[in-house]
Amino acid sequence: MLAVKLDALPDIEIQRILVLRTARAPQVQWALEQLRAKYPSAIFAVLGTQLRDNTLFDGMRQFEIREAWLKPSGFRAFEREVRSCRFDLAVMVLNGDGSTGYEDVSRVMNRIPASTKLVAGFNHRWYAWNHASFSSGFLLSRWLCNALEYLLLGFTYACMLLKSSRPAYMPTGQGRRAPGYEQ
Amino acid sequence: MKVLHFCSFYRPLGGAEKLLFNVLDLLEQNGVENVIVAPELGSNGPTGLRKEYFVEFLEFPFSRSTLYASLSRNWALLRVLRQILRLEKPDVVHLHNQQNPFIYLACLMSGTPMVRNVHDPRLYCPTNWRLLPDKSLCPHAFGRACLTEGCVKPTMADARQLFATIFNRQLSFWKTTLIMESRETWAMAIQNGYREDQLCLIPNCTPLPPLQQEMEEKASHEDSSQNTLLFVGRASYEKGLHFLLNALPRVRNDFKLFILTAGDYYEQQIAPLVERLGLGSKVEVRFDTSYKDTATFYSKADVVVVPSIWFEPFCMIGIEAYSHLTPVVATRTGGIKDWCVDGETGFLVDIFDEYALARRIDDLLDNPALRKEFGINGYRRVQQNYTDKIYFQRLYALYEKVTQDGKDYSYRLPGMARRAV
Repeated sequence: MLAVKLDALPDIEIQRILVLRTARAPQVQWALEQLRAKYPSAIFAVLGTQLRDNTLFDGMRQFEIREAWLKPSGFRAFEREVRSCRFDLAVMVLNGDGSTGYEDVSRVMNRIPASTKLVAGFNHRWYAWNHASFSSGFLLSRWLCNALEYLLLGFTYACMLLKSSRPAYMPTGQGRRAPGYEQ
Repeated sequence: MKVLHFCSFYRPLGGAEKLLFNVLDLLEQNGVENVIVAPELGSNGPTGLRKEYFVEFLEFPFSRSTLYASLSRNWALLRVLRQILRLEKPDVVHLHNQQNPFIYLACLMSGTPMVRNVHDPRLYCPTNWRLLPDKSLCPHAFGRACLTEGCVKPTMADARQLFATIFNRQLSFWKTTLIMESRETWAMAIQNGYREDQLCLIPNCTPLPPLQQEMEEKASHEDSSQNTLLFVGRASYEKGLHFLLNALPRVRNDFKLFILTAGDYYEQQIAPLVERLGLGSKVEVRFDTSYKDTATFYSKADVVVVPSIWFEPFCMIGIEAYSHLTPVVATRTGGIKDWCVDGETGFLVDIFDEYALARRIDDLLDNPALRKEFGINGYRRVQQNYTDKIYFQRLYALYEKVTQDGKDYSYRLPGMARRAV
C-alpha cells in the first residue's frame, strides 16, 4: 500500500468523513483523533459493528451493522443512505499490519463514493486505499477455490455431525447455569 | 540446547505473555539459546535480547479469508518458516498460544520435536472459551455438540474457523507434547482424545521475593481505614467481572475495588454495569498497569478476587497474589482448584453463586488475622510448587525427553513430513 501523510492532504474540500469501524476501539480512537486534528470543522460518521453505547462515537452519525463482520451484504441496507451523504473522505482502520482478511471491508469501501479513501494502518501510518491490496488471486482460480471451499466446508460439517461429543466433563461446583448477565 | 519459540504476542499483555518472558529469561540464565518467531504486528517489536524473526501471516484470520487467500498466503508462510527452521536447526520447537495449522505443518516437515503450552481450550473448542451460547460451561467433547448446541453456526466464517480448528487439532496429535498447566486441562485433553504419553503437567510459575521483604512491604501498605479488593485481568465475560460486580452489593463491609485491566472490554461492557449497580464510588479502574505497579497493588490489597466463570487453564493471578502474601477468594474451576486450597490459602466458591462470593469476601475482610494466615500459607504453597526454579527443572527435563524421543516418534509423522527438507 502507498503510504501517505495526512498533512499533505487538501484541507478545504473535506467536510464529511466516514470511518469504517473494523478495528478495536483504541485503534479507531487514534484515527479519529488524527482526523479531528486535521479537519476540526468536518462532520464525522461511522459505519460498522458495536457502535451503540460506545462513547467514542458520541455525536457521530452511526450506521450500525448487525452482522459480526462488515461485509457488502450487511452494508446494502445503508448503501442508499451513505451514498446520499456524499462523503468527501472514507477511512478504513486495520487491526494488524497485514491486509489479509479485509477483502470484504475493502469491497464496501469500493462501493462508497468518496473522493478520497484512506487506510489507517495498525502501525499508526496512513495509506492510500487500493482494493487490489486487499483482494487476492485471479478471478478464475479464485472462483475454482471458492467452489472447492463450499465442498470442503460441507464435508467439515458432515464430519462434525458424525463425531460423538462424549464423554461429558463437568466437575462438581461448576455446572450452574449462567444467570444471563450479558445476554 | 537451542529452542525456537513461536508466539502470537511478543509483548507484555496477559498472563501467558508474562509467563513467556519469564520462561525466556529462565532458559537464557541456564544456558539455553532462544530464538523467537512472532507475527509482524506494529505492537510486536524486537527487544534485542535474543534472535527474533517477525513474520507476516503467523496469526492468520481464517474466518475472514477465502480458501484461495488462506492457501496462497499460508503457502508463502510455510516457505518462510521452513527456511527459518533450516537456518536455525533448533533442538526443540516451543509453541506458545499459536493457532495457525501451517506452523505445525512446517515444524512437522522439519522433523523437529515440538512442545506446546495449552493456555486455552482452542485445540478442542471452536469458540475458544468452552462456554455454551448461554455462557454456561460446556461439558461436551469436540464433536457434534459444537453444532447442535449452536456454538458453530451455519455461516461461512464459522465453517472456515471450524475447518482451521480441525486441521490444527489433527496435526497436534503428531510429534507434539502438550504442556498442561493444571489437572483440569489434563482431564479435558484426555476427554478430547489426546494420549496420556503426549501430555506433561507443568504448572505455571511466578518470581518469589524473600518472605521477610514481602512482609515488610505488606506492612508498609497496611491501611486499617479502608478495605481493598483487587481484580486483575481482562474485563471479558469469561473472567467473571460481571459475576463479581453483581455479588458486591451483598458485601456487608465497606470496601474499595481496584480493577487492573486492559483493552476496550471495560468501557463497552463493564462501565455501564458499574453505573447501573451504583458502584461508581466503590470501584476504581486502572488501564495498562505495568507489572511493577501491579505488584504494588497485590501488596496493598486485602483480598484478591478471581471470579472466573470458565475452565481457567491455570490463572496466574492467584499465585502472584500469594507471592505478595495476599489471600484469594476464587471460583471453583479449572487450574484455580490446584493452587487455591479452600480454607487454607483462600476460599473457593461455586461459579455464579453471588451470595457465597460476597460471604467469603466478608469473612476475610472481617478477620485480619485470617487474612495474614492465608497469605503466609499461600506464599508457602508457591514456594513448594510454583517457583521459577521448579518450572525450569520441569521444562528442561521435558525438552531433554522430547529431544531424546524425537527419532523414536518419527514413524507417527504423516507421509510428507518424512521427506527430507
